[in-house]
Formats: sequence, C-alpha cells, structure tokens
Amino acid sequence: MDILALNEPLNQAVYGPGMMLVFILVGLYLSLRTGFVQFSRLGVALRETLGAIRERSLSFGGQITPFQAAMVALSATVGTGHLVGMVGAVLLGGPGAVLWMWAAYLVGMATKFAEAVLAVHFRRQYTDGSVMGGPMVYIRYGLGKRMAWLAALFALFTAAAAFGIGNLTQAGAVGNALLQEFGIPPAITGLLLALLIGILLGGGIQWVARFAQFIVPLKLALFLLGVLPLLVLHIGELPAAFTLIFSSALSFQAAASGAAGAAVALGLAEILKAGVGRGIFANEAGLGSAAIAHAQAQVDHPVRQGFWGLTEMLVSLFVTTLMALTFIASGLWERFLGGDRVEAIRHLFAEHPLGVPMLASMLVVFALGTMASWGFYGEEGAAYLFGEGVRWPYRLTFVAFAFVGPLGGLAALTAVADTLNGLMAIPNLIALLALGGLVGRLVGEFFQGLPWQPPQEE
Amino acid sequence: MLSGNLAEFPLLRLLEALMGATRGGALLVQHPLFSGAIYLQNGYLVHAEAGPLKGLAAMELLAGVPAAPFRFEVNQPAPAQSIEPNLSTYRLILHQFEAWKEIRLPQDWGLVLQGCPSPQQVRLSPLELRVLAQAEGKRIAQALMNHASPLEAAQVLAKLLELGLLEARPQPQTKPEALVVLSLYGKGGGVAVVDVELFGRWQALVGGPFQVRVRTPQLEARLRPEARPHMQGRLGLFEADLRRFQLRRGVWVEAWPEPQT
Repeated sequence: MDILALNEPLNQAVYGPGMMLVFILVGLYLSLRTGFVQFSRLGVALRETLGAIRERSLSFGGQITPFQAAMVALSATVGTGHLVGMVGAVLLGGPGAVLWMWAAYLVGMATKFAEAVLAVHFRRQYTDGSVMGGPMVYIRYGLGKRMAWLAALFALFTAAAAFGIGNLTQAGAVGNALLQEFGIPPAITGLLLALLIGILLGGGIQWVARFAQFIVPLKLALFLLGVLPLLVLHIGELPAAFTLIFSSALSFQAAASGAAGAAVALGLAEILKAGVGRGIFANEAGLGSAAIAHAQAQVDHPVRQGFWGLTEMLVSLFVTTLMALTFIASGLWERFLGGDRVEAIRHLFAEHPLGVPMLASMLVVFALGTMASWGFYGEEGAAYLFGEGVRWPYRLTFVAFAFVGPLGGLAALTAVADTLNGLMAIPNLIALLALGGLVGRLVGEFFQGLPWQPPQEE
Repeated sequence: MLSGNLAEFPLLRLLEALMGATRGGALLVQHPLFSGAIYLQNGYLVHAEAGPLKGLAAMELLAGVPAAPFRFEVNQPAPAQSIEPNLSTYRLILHQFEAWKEIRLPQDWGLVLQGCPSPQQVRLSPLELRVLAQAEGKRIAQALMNHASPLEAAQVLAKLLELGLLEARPQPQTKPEALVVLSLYGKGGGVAVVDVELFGRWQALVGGPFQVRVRTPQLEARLRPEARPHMQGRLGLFEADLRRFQLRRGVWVEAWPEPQT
C-alpha cells in the first residue's frame, strides 16, 4: 500500500478550503463569546504584555515566566514559513492574498487567546512544580472523561507531527541553507543540530524557555536586518504595493506574467485559499500547539496569559506583513507568480547588501527556535499518552531525527507528519467550540476584578 | 507656650492649674497612636477630642494616658462644645481620674492584644465577651478607642489580662516586603491583593486582623488585604487605586502588615 497515495487526499482535506472555513467560523464564534477581545481589549493586552516587558524575568512562582511561555510559543510559530511560506502565498494568490491573510489573522487572534486561556485554566500542576497542559489537558478535563479519546488523539498527532513540521522540515531547511551558502556538509549540520536540540530538550522546559527568550529577539533582529534594507531599496514602490493588496483582493489578471511568462488570472477562490491559508497556518492559531507552551506559565489569572496569545499573533502578523510588503514592493512576485517560492526569495535576498547568506542565516535561526519548541510540544504529547517515563526515549528519537533531517530522504515521513500536524486542529477546534462559553465567562470575571477559580480536581 | 510630657506633669494637675488661672485655649496631647485635645474657656472645660472620641468619652481616654507630649495653645477656640461647663461635670472628670488609678493596664498602649486559650473555664459577662472579641489583634489604644466608654473598656481589658485570656505583646517588627504592582481590572478599590502564602505569614505575624501599608516614593497608604493564589512577589491593585496613587504595573513598592485600626 502506498502511504503517500493515502496521505495525499487526507492532507488536502486538512489544509483545504473546508477546514479553513471551520477555522474562521470557530475564530468568529470565539470573538463573539469574548466580546471581540482582540479589538475591545487590545490596549489592555498590549499594556499587559509589551508594556510589562521589563517584568519578563519575574514569575508568579511557576517554572517559567508568562513572557518565557509566550517566547516558547513564538519561537515555534515564527519559523521558516513566515519567510518562504509568505512568499509562497503571494506567488499562489497574488498580492491580494495578503488582505485575506490579515483578515484571517484578526479572527485567529481570538482563537489563540482562547487557547492560552484554556491551557492555563485546565492545566494540572504537580507537587514538584512541573505542569502538564495544552489542548490534550483542556479536552480531557474540560470536556470530561468520555472525551478522553479525543485528548489522546490530539496528543498522538502532536507527538508525531513534531517530527515533521518541528524537526525534519526545519532541519532540512537548515541543512540546505548551510550547504548552499556556506558549503557545510549536511552530516556536520545534522550532528550540530542533534547536539544543540539534545542539550535543550534535556534541560526540560526551563532550558527550552531560556533558549526561546534568547532566540526570539534574535529572530526579530535578524529579520529586521534582513528585510529593512530590502524595504528601503524599494520604498518608492511601497504605496503601490499597498494599493495592489487591496485592488487585487477579489480577482487578479496579468498579461504575460508569472513564472511561465504567460497570462495569469486568479479567481477569488485561489486568492482566498492562499491568503487565508497563510493567515491560519503561519500562526498556528487553532492547531493548539502554542497552548502547550502557554500552559507552562504561572499567572494569577488565565486571561492574563491569553493576552500573550494576542501579542504573539501581532508579532507573527508583523513579520509576515513586512515580508509580504517587501516581496510585493520588489516586483519579483510578478516574475515568479505561480513559480518556485525558494527561487523567488533567493532572488529577493540577492539584492541585500549581505546577499543570500543573510537569508540563509535567517532560515537557520528561525528553524532552530522552531525545532526546540516543537521538540517540547511533542514530548508533552508523548508524556500525556505514555507517562513521564517516555520523556527521554522521545527526546533521543527527536535528536536522531534532527541528525537525519539535513541529510534528506524522508519525504514520505515528512508528508505524513505534515498531515498529522493539520489533524491536530480537529480535536482542538472541537474543544474550543465546546469551551467558548467558559472563555467568555473567564474574560468577564477578569474584567470584574474577580479572582480566578480553577476547576475542581477530578 | 506651655509644653511638656504627661509623665512628668500629670494631666489632672495640669488641668487644675489651667482652670485655676481661668485660662482659655487648647491643651493638645500628642500620643504616638492618636491625638487628643482639651479645650478650655475662661478656665472651664468645654470640649475634648481623642482619636475618634469626643466629649466626656474623649476625656475618659485622656484621663488614662500615662505619658505623652503635650502643649497648651492659648486662645485657640473650641471647634464645638461637647462638655457642659459645670460642677457636676468637673466631679465626673475627677471620678474618671480616680478610676484610672485602680486600673492595672500596661503603660505602653502600643502593645498588641492577643487572645490566649484559658486553662480553666471562666465565666464572662456579655460586655467582657464583646470587649475580648473586639480587642483581639489590636493595640491597647485602639481597643480603648473602639469602645463608647474607654474607661469601662480599660477595666475589662485589665481583668482579661489578669485572667490570662488576653496577652499584651509588643508589635512584631515586620520587614517591608518588596512587591511588584500588578493591575487588577474592575470596579474594586481600597484593596491590596497579595499571595495566599504571604497573607498567611502576615496574619500569623500580626496575630489577628490586619491592614496592608503600602509605601511608594510618593506616598503611603493603608489598604484592606485580600489573598489570592499565584500572586508570588506581586501586589494587586485595582485601576482606581493605581490612578489614585499614581502607580502603574511593574513598579516596585514596599508593603507590610499593620494591626487593623
């Protein structure tokens, strides 16, 4: 039986328009239940997160600080998809896709907020201070014993998907970038990656969090260093880029354009699919992965951590938007429309004062952060399923994959893991739908100044 | 200006001298825990204040003050008249001074009263039970001022101390805790939210109900404490208080407990 043939339709279904519609509907439902918290409380959210950034090392007594939890989530979210994936979305849907991506982000903000709130509300804390949390825990304890199978399913998808999106894909990107730009053999890259990831995962959440606290600002600094010179180079085209985003949001036609040099016509469905798809999958809102990190933060009220979910989305939106604007302003999108996204982004960075090695450095740093966080997510999923004893075997397997990743040759496994990554959304979205009312109640209580009442232990 | 300390110039002798000289003005008593004033008009007592007390109740309290700095301010008019300037009132005040001589209460009214388990069964009157309940965790001065008749309260407190049902201990020295301000939303106010563990520690230290004293570079405030979990190192303040104290989230403040007044 050809596993890839089986995987293909399933992959198309979980990343297809039907599933995207479900993401959007759940996001809208959560927006309604929370009184559109992403807009009505945006000022509070910013004050509670970026405004309180100097409290980043202050915990509320937990293992990691709320800031660190958000950094672990951001470290996973802001990956290579924010660079290459964003360029890919513009190549598939034209500049108009960006507008739909923005819309999806705005709706997804409520989803990410709800995930973080529920993760803290339902997490289990053990006497040694360790915490187990995330969608598998809020499904299990929020929906009750009879839905334990759904929680287990989520944990299984997470533990398996981490080997794909969080490992092979990233390690492959690092291996390619280092080989092409610096001539480093994939075996050496694999060895270094395995060593670094092994050390980080071995230190538990504290080490992963410390690394995330360092790598996320580095990611953002490198990103600005990489993108701003290109944006300055094409600053004159920026107003036109904005106009294009709005004017081509419904349909797009170009004569003798695109990678094939032929006339290109994009309908609303294609533009929507490319834009909304990026707006959903780039930030992981709805997948439930970030909730595993947010659950680790010790805070006085779940809603306070939810604000970090909103800010996380804004940072992700900032990176994707800046990337898209730079690419559109460069004009390269017309030449590569429907073509290879890696080629397109390499051409874009060829104009950078530091050249394509700048892109390679960005990809390496972006991928590293994603790997460390996803390693933790996967480990949490496995620990939920099989208990604490599975942690080291899982870590060692993850490390082995990190070594193999740059060498390539595991396309089938990566494809299956990609599907499992998409499947994570199904149990999570069901739980979000069922627990939306509770999120709304917690928001109401927080703004009435009432203390948080954790759920009764079973 | 006449000034000194009641430990050297007993209040009764001082009043007799001022009355004998038909003086008018205010005799201001500056006890560390409250301020008092006795107003005279042409050598007659017309008004007295001590903490929240006024009139003869205030005189009752001032009559028992063993030591406190005082000063007499000439021609200071009385803000009100709460004492009838006649002979029977003077006799009553004399009786108050006499009654205080019989009461064995610690000289330091700053001591904190704490309930003790009684080794044997003791029958207490409703008044004694009420005073006992009200005095728990308070300083002697506060316990006296909380009662409509400080003299009566003093008599009961002295009995309770003698019976061993109450103990007067020095105010525990509490080191201010450095806490980071956390914003709380909603309509609340006048509340200092601290971690459950810190709340318990402060309660044990004070030995009864307490209030939280918060000190910032700009001001000091007393707030009602509230315990919440997961507030380690934080001091939760509602938005209204943050505005009132010109504070914001993330600011370090000092906080410590004080027995409730």
